[in-house]
Amino acid sequence: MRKVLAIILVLATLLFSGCSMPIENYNLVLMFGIDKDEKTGGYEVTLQMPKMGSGGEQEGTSIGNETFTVFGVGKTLEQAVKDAYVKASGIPFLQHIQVVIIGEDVGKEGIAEMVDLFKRDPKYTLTPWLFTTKGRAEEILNAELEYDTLPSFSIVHTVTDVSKFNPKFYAIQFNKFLENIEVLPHGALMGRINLIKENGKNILEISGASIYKDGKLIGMLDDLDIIGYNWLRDRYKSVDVSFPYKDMHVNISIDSGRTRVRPVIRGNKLIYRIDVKASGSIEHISSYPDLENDTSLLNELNIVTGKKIKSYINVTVKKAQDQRIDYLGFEKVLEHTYPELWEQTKDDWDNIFPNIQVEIHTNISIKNTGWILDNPEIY
Amino acid sequence: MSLFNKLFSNKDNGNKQDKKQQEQKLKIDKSVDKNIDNVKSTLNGNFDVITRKVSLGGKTDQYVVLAYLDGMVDKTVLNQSILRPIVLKPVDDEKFRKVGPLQYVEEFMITANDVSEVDKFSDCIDDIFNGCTIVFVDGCDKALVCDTKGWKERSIDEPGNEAIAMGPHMGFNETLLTNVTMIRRYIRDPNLHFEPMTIGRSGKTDVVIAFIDGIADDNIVNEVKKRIQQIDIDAVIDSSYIAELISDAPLSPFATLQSTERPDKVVANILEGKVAIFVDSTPVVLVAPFLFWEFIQSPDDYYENSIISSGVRVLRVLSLFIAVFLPGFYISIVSFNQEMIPTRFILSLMSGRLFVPFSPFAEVFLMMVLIEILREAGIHFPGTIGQTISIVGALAVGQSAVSAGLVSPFVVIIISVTTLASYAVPSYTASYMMRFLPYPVLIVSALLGIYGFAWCMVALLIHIASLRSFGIPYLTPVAPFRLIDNKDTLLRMPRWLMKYRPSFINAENKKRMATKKKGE
Amino acid sequence: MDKKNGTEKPCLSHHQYACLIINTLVSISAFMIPSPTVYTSKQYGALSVLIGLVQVIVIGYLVVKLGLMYPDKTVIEYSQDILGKVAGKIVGLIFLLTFFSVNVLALRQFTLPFQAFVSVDIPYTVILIMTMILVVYVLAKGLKTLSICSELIINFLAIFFILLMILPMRNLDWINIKPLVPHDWGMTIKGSFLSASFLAEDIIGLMLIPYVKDKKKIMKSNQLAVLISGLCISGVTAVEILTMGYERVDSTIFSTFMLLREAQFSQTLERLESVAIAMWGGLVFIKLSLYMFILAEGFREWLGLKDNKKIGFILAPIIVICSMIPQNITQVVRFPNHVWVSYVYPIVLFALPILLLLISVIKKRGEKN
Repeated sequence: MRKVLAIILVLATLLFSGCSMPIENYNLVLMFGIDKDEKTGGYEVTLQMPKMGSGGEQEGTSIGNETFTVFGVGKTLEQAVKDAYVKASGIPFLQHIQVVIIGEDVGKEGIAEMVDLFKRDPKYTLTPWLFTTKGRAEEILNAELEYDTLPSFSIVHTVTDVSKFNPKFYAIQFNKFLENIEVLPHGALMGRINLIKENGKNILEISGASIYKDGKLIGMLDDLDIIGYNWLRDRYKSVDVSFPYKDMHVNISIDSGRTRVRPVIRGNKLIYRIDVKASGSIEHISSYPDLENDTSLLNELNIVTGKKIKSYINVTVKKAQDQRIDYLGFEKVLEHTYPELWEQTKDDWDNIFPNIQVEIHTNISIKNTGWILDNPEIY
Repeated sequence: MSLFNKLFSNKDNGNKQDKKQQEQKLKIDKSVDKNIDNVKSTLNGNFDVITRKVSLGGKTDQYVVLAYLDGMVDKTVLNQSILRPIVLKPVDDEKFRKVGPLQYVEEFMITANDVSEVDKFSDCIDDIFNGCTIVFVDGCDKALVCDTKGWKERSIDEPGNEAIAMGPHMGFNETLLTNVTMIRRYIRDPNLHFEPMTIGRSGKTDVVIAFIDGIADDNIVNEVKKRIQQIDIDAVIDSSYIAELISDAPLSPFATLQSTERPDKVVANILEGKVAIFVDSTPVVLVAPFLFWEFIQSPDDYYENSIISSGVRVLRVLSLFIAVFLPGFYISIVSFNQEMIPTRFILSLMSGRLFVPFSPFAEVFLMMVLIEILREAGIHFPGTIGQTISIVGALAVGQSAVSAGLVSPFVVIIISVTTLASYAVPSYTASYMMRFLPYPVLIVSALLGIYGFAWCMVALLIHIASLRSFGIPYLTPVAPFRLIDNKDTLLRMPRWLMKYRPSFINAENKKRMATKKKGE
Repeated sequence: MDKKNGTEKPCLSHHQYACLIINTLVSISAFMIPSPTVYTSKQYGALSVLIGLVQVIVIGYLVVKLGLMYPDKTVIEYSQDILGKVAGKIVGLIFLLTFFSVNVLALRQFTLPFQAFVSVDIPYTVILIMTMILVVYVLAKGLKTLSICSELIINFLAIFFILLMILPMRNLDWINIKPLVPHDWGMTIKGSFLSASFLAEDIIGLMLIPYVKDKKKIMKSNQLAVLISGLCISGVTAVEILTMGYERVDSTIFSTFMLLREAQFSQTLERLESVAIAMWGGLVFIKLSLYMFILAEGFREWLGLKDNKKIGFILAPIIVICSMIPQNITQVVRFPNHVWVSYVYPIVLFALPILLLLISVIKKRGEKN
C-alpha cells in the first residue's frame, strides 16, 4: 500500500513540473554587439545568429556569410535585449555567445551595466572574447564577409591559434578581463577589432588593444605597442623578433619562455625587476652568415634579441606610465609579494606608478637554425 | 503446459483424491496379474504403458511381468539384458529354492547394470516415470527396478546466446544426468555433493543441488535447501520458476540468481563456493548467490589475456551505463539544459532538428518503441525471412526516417548506440532487463531535466544497494569494500594473483592454490 | 535470508563509517564554503580552511572519546546517564534541534543551483518533494543500504576531485595565492571559523558510533575522514583562488560550479558543470538521508518509542514544509552562516561535547572509587 502511495505521489509531482524548452525553439546567438542609441540615449543591441535552414544539412558546405542579425533598442541593456527577442525568429539563446563587441560610445560611457548583467543573469555566460571597436559595433556584425561562414568562430580561432604566430594583438575572455579589472587599480586591456576594406572586400582586423580604467574606455593601443605587453603577460607561444643586425635581417621564432615580474625594494625605492627567459630558433636570415663555423654568432644574436625584447617592453611600460594607468598588473604583483607595502601605497598608486623604475633582464637562447645551417651564396 | 498436465495428472479432481488414497494403499501383490491390473489402473490405461508377461526361465507356473513406458526406455537394453535372460535362461532349481525367486531373478538372471529392490507400489510408479522397467515376480511382494533410461535427448551444443570465441563449447541439455555428469568431469573431487530433491505435485521434477563440501558456505546451502523445499507448485517447467519462487527480490529488474547454460561457468562458480541448482528437463542451471558485478563477467575473460580482458570489462560497464542512461541524458540536455553542451555540438544538433515535427521527447520515445518492435520481430520471425527483416528494419529506421524528416539523424545514432550497448553485456538476463530500464529514466528526465536525470541515477543506485542475494549485499565487493575480492570485479587480475576464494563466502577452506610466489 | 531492515546495531564497518562522514562533510561545503571564506581571508582562503581543519580534528577526537565511553548508546541516550534525566533530555533536544535545522537548511540549499544555473526553472517545491521521497525510500531500507550507496558515491567523488584539479590546469596563475605565509594572521583565523563550523558536523559521529562494528578502528577512521574532507575542501578553495583570483571567488555564490563551467581543457572538454551537478545531487542526498536517519533514531530514543520508520514518515513532510519558510536566497545562505558560526558552533559543536566528556570522565572516576 505504501509503495502504491509513493508511486502516485511521484507521478503527481512530476505532472506539476516546469515547462521544457525544446532546443528547436532556440536560436544561438554567436556574436553580441552593444552600442549606444543616439536617438534615445539608451542601448542598441545587435545579435548575430547563424542561419538555420537551407535543408538542415551541414553548415560547412556553402561559402559566404551564413548569419543574420537582429537588433533591439531599450533604455537599459536588458530591455534592449528583450526587444531583440521579439524580432528574432527563435528565442535567442545567450549561453553560447562567442564574441562580444563593445562600441566606442558605450565603452567611453562605461561598461558597468554590461558587466553586472553578464555576471548576474544566468542567461548569459562569461566565456566570450571581448573586443572594443572604433565606431559602432553594429557595422561589424552587419558586415558582409566574403569567406567566413560563421565569423564568430573565425574570430575565436584567430585569437586562440594565430596568437602563436603574431604578437600584434591582444585578446581576452570576459571572465579573465573581470579578474583583471576588479583588482586594484582597476585598469585592464581588452581586445580591439576593426572593419577595414581591402580591394572592396570587408575584412575583420584584430590588432592592438583597448584600455579600460574604472570600467571606462580611455584609449587604444596600436599593434607595435602591444608586443611588449604580450611579452610581459607571458602570452606568446612563439613570436617573431625581427630586426636589422649588421645589415642582416633575422627572424627568430620563440618556442617557449617565461616572464617574471617582481617588485624589489632597494633602499627606499620600489623597483620592478622583469626577468625574461626564452628559447627559440632562427626562421630566416637574410644575408649569409657563417653559422657553421662562427660560434660566437649565435651568442651575439642572443644578446641582440634580448635588447630588442627589452625595447619592446620598455615602450609598453613607458606608454602605460605616460597615461598614468597601471594596466600592466604591477599593483597586483605587489599585493601578492609585499602585502604590507601594498596596504600603504594602494591609495596613491596612480601617482606612484609613473615613477617606478623598471629593470629588464633578458636571457634568450637560440637553440636551432632550422633545417639548414648556411645558405650558399649564389643568390 | 496443458499437454503435460493432461499426460501426467488425473482429469477429475474428485477422482484424484480417491485415486491418491487408493494408490497409497496399493501394495505390490504376490500375483502378477493383480499387479498388471494395478499398474494399468493407476496409469489410467494410457497407450504408452506396456506390460509384458513372460515365463520365468521356461517355468510354466511362475511368471514375470515387466512394466515400462514406451518411449522412455532403451529397448535394446530391455530386450537383451532383461527380457532375453529371463525368458531363455534355464532355472537352476537348487539355487532357486535356496535364494527365493526375486533374488534369483535379480542376481542370476538379469544382466542389466542398475537393478534394485523396491517394496512400495508408489515407488514403482515413480520409477516407471523415470524410464525404469519394473519387474514383478510371481509370489513376491517386492519388485525389481532396472534402470533402462533411453529417451531421446538433444546433443551437447554450445548455447546460442552465451557463445564465446575460444574455450570449451559444451552446453547443458535437458537431461539432468547428462548435466550432472559434465560437472563431474570437471571436478573430480569426492567432496562434490549432489543432493536430490523433488518438487511439484504433479510434475515431480527432479532438482539437484550441487556444492563442494568444505568450500561452500553452509548457511547458503541450507538456505537454498530450505527455500526449495518450501516451494509448492504443480509443475516446474523451467528453472526460472524456481528462481522466481526462491529469489530475494523477484520483481526487481536485477536478478539475484544467475542462470546459465554453460558448464564451465557453473563449475567456476561451484569452485568459488557457490551453490548450483540443476533442474530436470531444462538446460538452464541456477547458481546462488549472484552479485551485480557478475553481469559484466564472461568466461571469455578468463581464457584470454588478463590485461585486455580487464579493458573489455571496463567497456562493458560503460555500455551498461550507456544503455540505461543515454536517452535520458540526451533529453535532459536538449530540452532543459542546453548550456551544458559544447557550442559546436549544439549547432549541429539544432540544424539536425529543424524540420522534425515532434518534440524531442516524442521523437526519442517513438524511435525507442520502433526499436522494440524491431527486436521482438527479430526474435519471432521465421528464419528464412530473418535476413530480410533486418535489412528492412535498418532501412526503415535509419535512412528513411531521417530523409522523411521524421527524426533527426542524431537521435537515430543515440538510439542505435543504446540498443547495441544493451547487448554488449554478456548475460541474456541483463540485456532483457536493460530493455526496460531506459524508459523511466527517459520520462523523468523529460519532465525535470538534469535534476530528474540525477534523481533517476540515485533512485537506481538505492534500489541496487538495497538488494541482497541470499544475505550478501548485491554490490559486494565494491560496496561493502573488500580490497582482496576486487581482483575479479572490474579488472581481471592474472591467474597467479587469485589465491583466495571470495571472502564473502564464509567457509573454512579459502585457499585456491598454494600461496607460493610464481617461479618458486 | 534475514529480511530485517538492516539497522541492527552494529552494522557498519569502519570503512563505511568513514565514507559516510566524508560524503556528508564534503557535500555542501565544497560548493559553498570557498566564497564566504575568501570574503574574510582573501587570498589565504585555503590556509583558513586548513586551520579550521585543525580545530575539527580536535573536536573529532573529543567526539570519538565520548562515544567510546558508551559504545552501545547514542548521545540522546547517554546524555541522560551523564547529566540526569531533565538536563539530559534538554541536551538531547538541543542536539536534535541542531540536526533538524541542518536538515531543513540543507534541503533548501539543495534546490539553489537548480534555480540559479539552469535555463529553465523547475518549481523548487517539486525538487523538495522528489528529494524527500528518495530520502524516505532509503530510510525505509535501512542504514546498511545508505552506507553502500555512500561507498559507491565516494568513488565518483574521487574522480570528480581529480577532474577539478586537472581541468583548470591551463588557467592557473600562481601569483594569485601568494604570499604563501599570510601577513595578516587575524584575517586568516577569522575566516577559519566558517569552515570549522561546517566540518564540525562531524558530531553526527556521536549518533553513529553505536552502529560501527569495530570500535577500535573508529578513532582512526574518524580522524582520517575529517582530514580527507578538510584537504578536499582546501584543495577546491585553492584551485578556485588560483584560477579565478580571490575577488571573483568571493563575489560568486557557487564558485565551484563557475569553475567547472569556465574550465576549458580542450575544444571538446568544456562546460562540464553537469558533472558538478550530478555530484551535488549525489552527495547532498547522502547528507540528507543520513541526517534524516539520525533525526528519526534520535526522536525515537528521546520519546522512547520502538519503530523509527513511522517517525521518519511523519518527519518528512514537516521538514519539507519547514524548508519552504526562508523567503529568499539571503536568508538561506548568508543568515544561517552568521548564526551557525557565531552561536551554534561554539556552544553546541564545541562546548557541549567537552562538557559531556568531562562530566562523564569525572563520573567514571567517582564510580571507580
